Amino acid sequence: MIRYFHRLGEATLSLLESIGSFTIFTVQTIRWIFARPFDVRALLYQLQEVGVKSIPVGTISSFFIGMVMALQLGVSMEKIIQGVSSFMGGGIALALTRELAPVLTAVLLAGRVGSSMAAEVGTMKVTEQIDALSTLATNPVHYLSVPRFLAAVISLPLITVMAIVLGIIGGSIISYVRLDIPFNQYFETARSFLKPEDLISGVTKTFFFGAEIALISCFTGFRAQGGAEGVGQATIQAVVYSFMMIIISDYFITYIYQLFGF
Amino acid sequence: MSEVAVSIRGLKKSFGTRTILDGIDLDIYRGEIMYIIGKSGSGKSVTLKHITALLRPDEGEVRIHGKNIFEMDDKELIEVRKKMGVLFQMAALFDSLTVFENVAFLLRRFTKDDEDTITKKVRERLRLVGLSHVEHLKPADLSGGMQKRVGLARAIALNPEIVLYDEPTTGVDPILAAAVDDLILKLNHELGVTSIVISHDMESVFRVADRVAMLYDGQFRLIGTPDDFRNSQDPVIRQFVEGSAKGPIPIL
Repeated sequence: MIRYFHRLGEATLSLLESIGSFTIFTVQTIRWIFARPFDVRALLYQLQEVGVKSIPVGTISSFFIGMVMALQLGVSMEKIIQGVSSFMGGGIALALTRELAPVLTAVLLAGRVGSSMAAEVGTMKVTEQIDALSTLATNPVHYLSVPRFLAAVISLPLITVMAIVLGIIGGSIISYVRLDIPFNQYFETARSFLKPEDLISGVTKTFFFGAEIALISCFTGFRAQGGAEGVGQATIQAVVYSFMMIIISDYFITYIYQLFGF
Repeated sequence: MSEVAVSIRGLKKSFGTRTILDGIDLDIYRGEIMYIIGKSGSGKSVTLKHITALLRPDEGEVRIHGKNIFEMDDKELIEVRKKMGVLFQMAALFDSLTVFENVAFLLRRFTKDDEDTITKKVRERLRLVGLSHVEHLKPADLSGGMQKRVGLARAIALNPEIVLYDEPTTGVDPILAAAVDDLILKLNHELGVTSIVISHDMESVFRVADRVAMLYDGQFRLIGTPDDFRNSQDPVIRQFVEGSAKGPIPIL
């Protein structure tokens, strides 16, 4: 019995230690953003890796989400109330903008980019490249974490906007093909349902998602130890914790936004 | 006696319940080649990681040119590290960068040199460690020995005053080991650097070292010249110098 309490205590301590270290890491990353030298080259490279190369994944997935929503919503709504599917454009646009596109894009990026950040930083850690950086008078957080953080925070909102647009277009095609909803009616309801605050709410929360992905993935990479196995563990943790944090924080951010009328 | 470059005082470090360094003291003078020897796990690398401030001690201090590195802020530490070069055991080259970019790392970051000057300096550094025509290769394309040389070229890019070597001859063939020894001597003479070498290669010690310090049980057992080590009657020193499995030093 005492053994279980002992284990519980140890687990709690280790959790608290991790949260503390993560907080320090976050503060350090943000502080080092403003330190010289400002590495433009590294930032551009990360924007390419994190942002540009994620566009196909983000937009194609969202396109199909729009299509499948039209299919599901249209068919099941028509069964209940005839003619209600003429509001399809508004429904899809609202759902995509406020919730689906931001979260879906964030989760896809966590899988694609978070895993590679954790693996790359983790490998550098276990092969002493991070120690080498320090001895080369370069702060590892400054050199590795800052460009990845900035790239994720800049890229994710932009890709989300593209995902929203592509998703709405995907929905319009299926609405027309399967439910005979004319394009102009679809886009008219989308336009009248969608308010600026929906877009603000949907897109701004991806800043936080992007920050979470980059910080968690770099953090787990920095804590990797013990060779290939440690890098594997760090990668798993990066993806799993990013997924969880995205979805958990999504609730709280939305809740806070609603308090302010968004 | 000449000026002290690195001074270690009362350095203590434990990991969990294992005490690795139990209050060590050592002065390293400017321009000398100091070897720190000891068996695997005796704390040699931990000592090196304290001199480079990669680890923080439980107690004690390391002074570089008179200033305690554990009391420095980020800026001061960066300045000190610019004057130190470290060759890691596995070279620790940045594998996403080419050989050229690795060696140019410090030059690009901390000098205002234009590309032509950087190219010239990188080639010169590579020539100094005996390499040419490898600039465009990635570290993974090089042999272990070549990686070490590139690591050394990267470490000395900014003309450091102190160069630290972590087991430079471990895992390389005898000919290359001799070449690495020659390199340490050459850098010491040509650039006038203070050299600190972590090693358990006694041949290399007798060939290169000005002074030697042996770590045993968290303390320095003996600090002296290679001759002091040759002539020592201490059974621990004798066993290590002769490389015998029999003696007071436990193998595991």
